[in-house]
Amino acid sequence: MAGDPSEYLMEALGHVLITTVSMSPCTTQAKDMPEIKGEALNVRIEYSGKHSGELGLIMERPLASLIAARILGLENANDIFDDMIDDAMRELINVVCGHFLTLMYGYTPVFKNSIPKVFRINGAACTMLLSNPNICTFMVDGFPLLGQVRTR
Amino acid sequence: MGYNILLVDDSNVVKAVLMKILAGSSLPINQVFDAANGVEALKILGANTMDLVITDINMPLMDGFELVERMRLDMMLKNIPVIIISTEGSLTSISNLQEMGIKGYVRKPFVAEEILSILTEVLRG
Repeated sequence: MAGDPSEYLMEALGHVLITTVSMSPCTTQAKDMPEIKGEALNVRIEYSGKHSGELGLIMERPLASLIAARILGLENANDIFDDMIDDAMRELINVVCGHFLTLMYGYTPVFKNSIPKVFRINGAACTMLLSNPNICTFMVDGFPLLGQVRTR
Repeated sequence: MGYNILLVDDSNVVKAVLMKILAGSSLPINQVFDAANGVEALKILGANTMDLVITDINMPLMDGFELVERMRLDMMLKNIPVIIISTEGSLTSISNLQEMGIKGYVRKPFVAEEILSILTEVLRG
């Protein structure tokens, strides 16, 4: 294992978003992030094996629905139902996790991934998370996105 | 007569994308079945003639590894070609799947051309 897990998350997220939805995330400082005021989606996955840990992505519904719409090839993100957004978020973190694991630990170890889960959190919780050292902050197409890596 | 294809993935989004790719292909497709996990897949396989199974690995109830293993142990199912579409990046796991007889592996995220290329190769022999 070498390097900063946050950098590997950024690289994995970038690869997956560009390939699947033609979006490009860029890192930003927490202090420069637009405030998340309303409800946000928090999708999480755990991995275990020779190494174990957890990844999370937190974003507001407009970004989540935009990503879901682009995955599905739909022009209007407003046409997406919540269950499809949740499903797209689970798939997104699943794919990001696969690439994160390869970048972080190489091609040899075998990992077992949990089934991803989606939670709703409010803006105040998002603001509190910004002071967490495990949180990294991105901007994607003008929307804030929080990433969380916990290695055990 | 066209091909019967079974898609196995717990993500409806992934299945919708794959169905769209299949619908846009020039392959003669008779029917596309779908299942959310290995348990559902085995039920469908037990009741229908299938030409190809496309499956994910990480699924609840029964994952893709177990599905492939059970198919290989079943005289009626062991000759159905299987393509894995997964986030799995471990060469150890992919090698194990190849030893189990899978016909192809596509790593997510995929592009339509990758899927169509491997489908054509496997279905047309």
